[in-house]
Amino acid sequence: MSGSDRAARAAADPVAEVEALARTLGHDLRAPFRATEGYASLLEETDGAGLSPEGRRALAEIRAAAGRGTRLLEGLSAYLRVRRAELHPGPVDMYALACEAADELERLGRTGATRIDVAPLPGAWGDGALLRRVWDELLANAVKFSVRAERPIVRVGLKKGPRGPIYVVEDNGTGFDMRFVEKLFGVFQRLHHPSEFAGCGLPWEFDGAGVGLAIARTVVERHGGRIEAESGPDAGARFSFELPAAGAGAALP
Amino acid sequence: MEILLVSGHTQRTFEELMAMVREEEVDVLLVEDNANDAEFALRALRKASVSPRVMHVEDGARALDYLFGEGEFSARSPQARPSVVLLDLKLPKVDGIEVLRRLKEDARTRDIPVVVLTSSKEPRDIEACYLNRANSYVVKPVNFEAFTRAMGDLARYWIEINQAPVARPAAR
Repeated sequence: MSGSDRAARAAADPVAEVEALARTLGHDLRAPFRATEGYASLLEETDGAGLSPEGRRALAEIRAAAGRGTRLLEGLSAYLRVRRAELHPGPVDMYALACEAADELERLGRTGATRIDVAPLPGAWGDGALLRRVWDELLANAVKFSVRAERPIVRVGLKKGPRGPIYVVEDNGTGFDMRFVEKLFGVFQRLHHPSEFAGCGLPWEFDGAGVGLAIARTVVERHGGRIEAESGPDAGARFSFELPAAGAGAALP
Repeated sequence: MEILLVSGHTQRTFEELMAMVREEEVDVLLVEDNANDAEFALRALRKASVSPRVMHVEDGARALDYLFGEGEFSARSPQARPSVVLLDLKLPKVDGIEVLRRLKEDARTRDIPVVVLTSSKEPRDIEACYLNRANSYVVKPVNFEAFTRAMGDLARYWIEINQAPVARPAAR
């Protein structure tokens, strides 16, 4: 596509324009949040000892709120990057990717007592870096929601579908209400209150931005694939996705 | 003429300041337009174990003038080169990529290490910086403590661990 074609396409593409604006906004809002957190930290450092307990608590809330704001922006940026990233398709070792994603979660101390079992998986055709994100998000999500189970376990496996292999991530955790399945993959949508995860002793906060599943869905759909979720309250959850075979007419927009 | 802020120094006469600017050996040139980010960076650098001498400029044009000894910095000695330049990307007047490009194209300054220090994680920005020969690309940590630690690590690495290029007389 020539430069002028690209420009014309951008002008006619309101979605791209909104995304570009959102990206700029996300970037520009980072500084005020950093400043809020930074000066609150500074205040704590310089005058914290002289503050009342209420005052110190207010400062802690300011820092926490600034942190949440920043995480929302980070989530938004990550989502937008995946929406517009260039795809570089090739053969992808899905088993290796899933294992790497699981290992990294463990290494970062984000799995707690949860065990992640990865069964052998067939390869796929697609963008390895982006597909890695699908594993990252589905596994992180599964671990997060299985934290209250007695023996939390996440199983990564395979199902045979009519069009080809279906990759499955299953957990034995809280599950979700199927009436809200449409919201599950929405950006910033959350089906559980953060207080439901309070005190579970994992070193990372549950107050995530709520874009992980939106990112997973975006990547799968950009590959021309589909992703689905099934569950019942306290019945665990199962996320399944499939990808078109190499050259099987995937649009890769 | 504005009095320049040089970290770690307090009351000086104008003449003393100009003498310092002329000869002052500076470890870090911080190019940052956001006043809050600059304050945090300067505080963090001051706390760093290596106690770097820091010069701060708020836009790309002044950064170039400083390093080339031009404009308001024409009295500066070209020998007084910083060990590292910490360069933000979104800058007024001359933006970060342009500053980087000019520094790396000019024989007088191309060997000064430039660390891009920015909020942007965009692949196109990362690629553009490395294509223009940035020595390093660091995304500003969003968390304040992580930011302070990172600045300390950067200072320690570029001033103590890394071997700075040998100062050369001006050559075109």
